[in-house]
Amino acid sequence: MSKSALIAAVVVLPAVWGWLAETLLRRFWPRHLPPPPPPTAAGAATAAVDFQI
Amino acid sequence: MDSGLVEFARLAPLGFLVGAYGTLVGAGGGSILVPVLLLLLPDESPATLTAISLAVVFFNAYSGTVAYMRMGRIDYFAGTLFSVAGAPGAVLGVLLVHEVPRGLFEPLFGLLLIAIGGFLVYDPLGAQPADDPVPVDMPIERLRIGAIGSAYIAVVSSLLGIGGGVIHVPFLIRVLRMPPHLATATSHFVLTFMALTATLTHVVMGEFATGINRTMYLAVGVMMGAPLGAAASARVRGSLIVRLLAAALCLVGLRLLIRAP
Repeated sequence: MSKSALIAAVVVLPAVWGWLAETLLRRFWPRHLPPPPPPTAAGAATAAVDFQI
Repeated sequence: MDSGLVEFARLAPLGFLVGAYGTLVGAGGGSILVPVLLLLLPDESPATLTAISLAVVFFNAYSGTVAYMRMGRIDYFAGTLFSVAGAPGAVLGVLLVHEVPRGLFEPLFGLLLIAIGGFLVYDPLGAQPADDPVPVDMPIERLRIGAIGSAYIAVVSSLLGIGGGVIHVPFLIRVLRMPPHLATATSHFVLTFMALTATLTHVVMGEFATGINRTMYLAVGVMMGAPLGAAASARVRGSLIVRLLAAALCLVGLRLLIRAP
């Protein structure tokens, strides 16, 4: 792959693919969210652990 | 002494420190590991360094994701969407890094570190309050922005060899307004697949022909250090530690900028 083709792909492909993935996945998969964290001291301590990126 | 043993003795403790400190401050292993590798291995190409880093990030993110799955904190829909959206970007980032010479990679990474450090000084995510709002279903527009944004973040993460969590989590929290307890867990889930995709691409391109041992030594250390960092993070004040990390990132960033040709 030439450099210019690669740069063009980097600029264009993520936007097109991201849009397509969102459109297709939303059509075939209804959403289910996990429950909110418990509003307790233990919950607060657990939330502090969560900032691991 | 056996050279493999010497290298293990050198890299496993480094991995341990990266895993523990990265998890403790919530800035991920990659953004710490890559600058260390740049300084330790001055003759290796950016492709080799990022291949090692991304493989290590995968092991780190995988172990974190398993923990978050047990806690039930992952938004699987958003996580799957952002993972699928990011996969081509992760491959493109690997293809791109093969075109980037080390003389350009170092200042680029230095600038990124200074930007991340500046952001973390301004807004340390570790200082987020624990009482997150109750999650609400994300509007379609935000999901679409999330998918497209994740695709571009995957390119940058894969190009620079960082997991991308340090970019992805602020993106989920600030732009998509995802509650922090979901954002960190969901980002971990996404990073596992992004790092795996990038690592497999590196494997296919032959980047691990020589670096597999070093990667495994680092991964052993990281997987031992990460739980320690997670346990310590419950006891240590997050925002101070994150600001210290930010200062360190800025200093290393400046160092890379200064020594760039």
